[in-house]
Amino acid sequence: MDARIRSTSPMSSRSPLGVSRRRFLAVGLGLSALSLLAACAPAAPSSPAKPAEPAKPAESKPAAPAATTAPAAAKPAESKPAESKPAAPAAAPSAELVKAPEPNPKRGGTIKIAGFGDPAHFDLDQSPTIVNLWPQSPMYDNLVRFNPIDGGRTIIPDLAEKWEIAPDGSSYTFHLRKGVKFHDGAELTAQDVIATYQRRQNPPEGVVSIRQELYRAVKSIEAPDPYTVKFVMSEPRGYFLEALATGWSVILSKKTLDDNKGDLRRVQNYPGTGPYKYVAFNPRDKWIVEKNPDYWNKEVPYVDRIERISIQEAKDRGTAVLTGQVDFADAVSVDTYREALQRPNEVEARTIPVTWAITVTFNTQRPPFDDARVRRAVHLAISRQDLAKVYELSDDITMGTRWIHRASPLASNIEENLKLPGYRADKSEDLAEAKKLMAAAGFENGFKEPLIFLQRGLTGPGIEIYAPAFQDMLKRHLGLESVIKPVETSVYWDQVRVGEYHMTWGAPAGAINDPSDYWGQWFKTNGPQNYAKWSNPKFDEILAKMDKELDLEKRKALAKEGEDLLDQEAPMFMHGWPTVPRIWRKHVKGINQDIVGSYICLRYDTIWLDK
Amino acid sequence: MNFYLLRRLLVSVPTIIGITILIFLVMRVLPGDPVSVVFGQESFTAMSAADQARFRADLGLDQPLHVQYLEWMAAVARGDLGRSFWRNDTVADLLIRRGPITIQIAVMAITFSWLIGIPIGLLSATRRGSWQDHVARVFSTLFLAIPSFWLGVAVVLVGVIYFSWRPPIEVDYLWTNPARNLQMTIGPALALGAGAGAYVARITRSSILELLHADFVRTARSKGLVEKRVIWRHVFINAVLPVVTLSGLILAGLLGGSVAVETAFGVPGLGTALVRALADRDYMVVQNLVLVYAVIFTTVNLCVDLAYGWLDPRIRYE
Repeated sequence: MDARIRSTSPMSSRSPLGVSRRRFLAVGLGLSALSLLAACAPAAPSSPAKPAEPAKPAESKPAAPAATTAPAAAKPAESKPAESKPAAPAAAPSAELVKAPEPNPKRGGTIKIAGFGDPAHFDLDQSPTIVNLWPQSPMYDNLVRFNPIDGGRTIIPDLAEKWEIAPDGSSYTFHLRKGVKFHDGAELTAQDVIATYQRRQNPPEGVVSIRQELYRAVKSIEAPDPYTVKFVMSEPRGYFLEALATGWSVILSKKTLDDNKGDLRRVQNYPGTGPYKYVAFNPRDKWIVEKNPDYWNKEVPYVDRIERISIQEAKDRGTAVLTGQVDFADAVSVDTYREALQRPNEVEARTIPVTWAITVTFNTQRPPFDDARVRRAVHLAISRQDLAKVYELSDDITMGTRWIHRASPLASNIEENLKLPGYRADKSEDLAEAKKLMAAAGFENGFKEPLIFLQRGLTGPGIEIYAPAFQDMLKRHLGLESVIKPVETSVYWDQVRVGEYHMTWGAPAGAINDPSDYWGQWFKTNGPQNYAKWSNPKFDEILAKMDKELDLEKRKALAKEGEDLLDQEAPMFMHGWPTVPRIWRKHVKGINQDIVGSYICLRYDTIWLDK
Repeated sequence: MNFYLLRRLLVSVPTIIGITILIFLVMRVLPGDPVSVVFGQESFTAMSAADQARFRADLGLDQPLHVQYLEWMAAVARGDLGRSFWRNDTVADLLIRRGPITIQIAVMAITFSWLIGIPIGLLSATRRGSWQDHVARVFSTLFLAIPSFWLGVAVVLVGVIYFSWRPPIEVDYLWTNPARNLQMTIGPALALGAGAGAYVARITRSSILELLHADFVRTARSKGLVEKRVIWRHVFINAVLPVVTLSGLILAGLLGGSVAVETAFGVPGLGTALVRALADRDYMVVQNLVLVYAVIFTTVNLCVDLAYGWLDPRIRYE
């Protein structure tokens, strides 16, 4: 995941407003020097995100939520669920079309957005990175989408104006809007949806569908008529609607897929039906899209043109907004974010939760981490609070999130989590227990050889701050010596695959906030991203039940069981689910910045410029 | 002269070929798989071994090394500098987009280094031991010690914090928008020029000091020439040769781009592109950029050698 960066919280106990300019300058120079050294390393992906105080979606009051929507599939963790009910909606009537929440939005203008580096290719289904998703999203639509007006807390109609879900979750029927045109002029029909999802589910030879697992339970996709699509499931999936609504699930043209034999890696302007049309992509410069005059929702988009400028460095993205050269930037550097907080008359700033976690994965096939007691000891002994302070040089990281993204309705309560062993700030009991576990595992005096702490990237906070702090805690609390082994990205994955490490820092990502997705990838036996090579039949059983359960309360109970098991087995040290800092000029309106994930609300169709 | 030029050009050919072989082999010997970077972790680890092999074949990496090398050289001979492993965009396009900015910064930096370094060196040498000499030496040492990127970071941060200004983030060329182009390039050029100017000042000073006691200078003075004329006509013109040599080396280095300064100012130059391509194992970009640098370095050095003859009539090329 490119462009993961550190962030800080506007809600932190140490007020950013207390930072003097002199101190900011001094720290900024130092950090910038570090970032320059980082320029000699591989691209930024290893730069970890430092989450802030959890976003408080429950407090958010969107000005004008789109009228009729499906029930929330991405309800905030803090919100109290209603009585036991299906996690997926049984039916959804057609909704009002999306529009800006403010009255009388202005039309026209060009919004300049600070982008990241350039994508390696253009095929969204083959890409794991926001470097593809964020710039390409405005050109496409989904069947259903997360509502941008309420920050993604509800799922609303998109290309499907309504849908029905069988009460037992055995089928999902979507009714498409008529007269929707792709940018090449072809009309959208059910065959396009079928071709899109068939490739996603069963990619042709030579094509990798990264989020294939989300659609594993789809038995068949049918088209009763040209404007109806029916997904027949082999078994229910409690998260299926969320999978269709994530920003990754864009609808492509059958013709495009056929013409390119299902591989769009080298096709930079394949047509979508979205609010913006492709204009130009200049590598290492900018990506330009302009308003689609034939867009099916005549209310949006409001701006004429989006220019996403390629800006590799986080500090440059931040300074570009501060000096008014761009209007909007995500994942800016901590120092520029803090400077933005001091300029409330010019810019706005907040941190947004992302859908990846900060972790240290253990190689469970190699001693001493083949022993669950040792992994549990690390889970207990490492102070998440101290690590966060050292790592981010300030404030809190996403304390108290356990193994589930905070915005999932299945997430456990953060305040309760912070009382649990391993997560609580007071380590006295945890350390005593950790030492007992080490003794029971036969490692009272440490391990016979230094452990290999594999790091992706040669420089950056992950290698320079996080790893040494983790290393020091392991040594002090558990007597485990380790050596940090930094390698370039091009070498890293081979070493992970062959298990040439004891532990490795990482920021694995999910496609949606629901744990069925990322637990299946990270922890299921032989899961595609199970780098820990961990296998636990009981966990697999819990996950299988959770996958097909539709009742929210029952899913929550299974999720808790899974989290408890993960706390005990700890295939990875789960630090938390972070946020990244976002800043934007005050004239940027029409978008709810209090969003609940990084793969939603990316289309910029409701955005407008008040200037 | 023509024979000398021809001979130098012929000698350059094996040098450049040697460099191409070296960089080609280094890229293949370095651990790391380009396919893993292009696809990213989730995709790469989900890929079957057969798919990985197919993608390597697509990139031409399944061929024997000598075939890969010869195909590269044949393409270069046809004027084709190849394509990036990533989006399939061409290296020629990369050079066209980034080259002008890098060249402009290099030329401006070397000009600044002369404008700063030569007068200071001259002043320092002719007033040796004076307060001006001490001040000049302190500053030249200071700018030698301060990394250029630090100056760059300081300029950008001060600009942002106190003046809400930073160099333009979008690229403009001298011929499309001169004002914005200069805003973008003057900072990096000054940061690089200050460091280079310190070198030039020191070499100018030592060179002049050496010549001030030369026989022909003493003779000039004994003939009754005024000191100013002695310095300009007899000392300075001879002292400038080492400066030209040094400037040639600095210029050749700058034409390759400065990663640190480009990063500090957020300028998309060739230096950053090369380093990123190296980390990404983007073989064709690295190989062809290094080839271009080799040609630039050889050419600049040749120009410097030719400049000697123009500056010093005693030097004749046989």
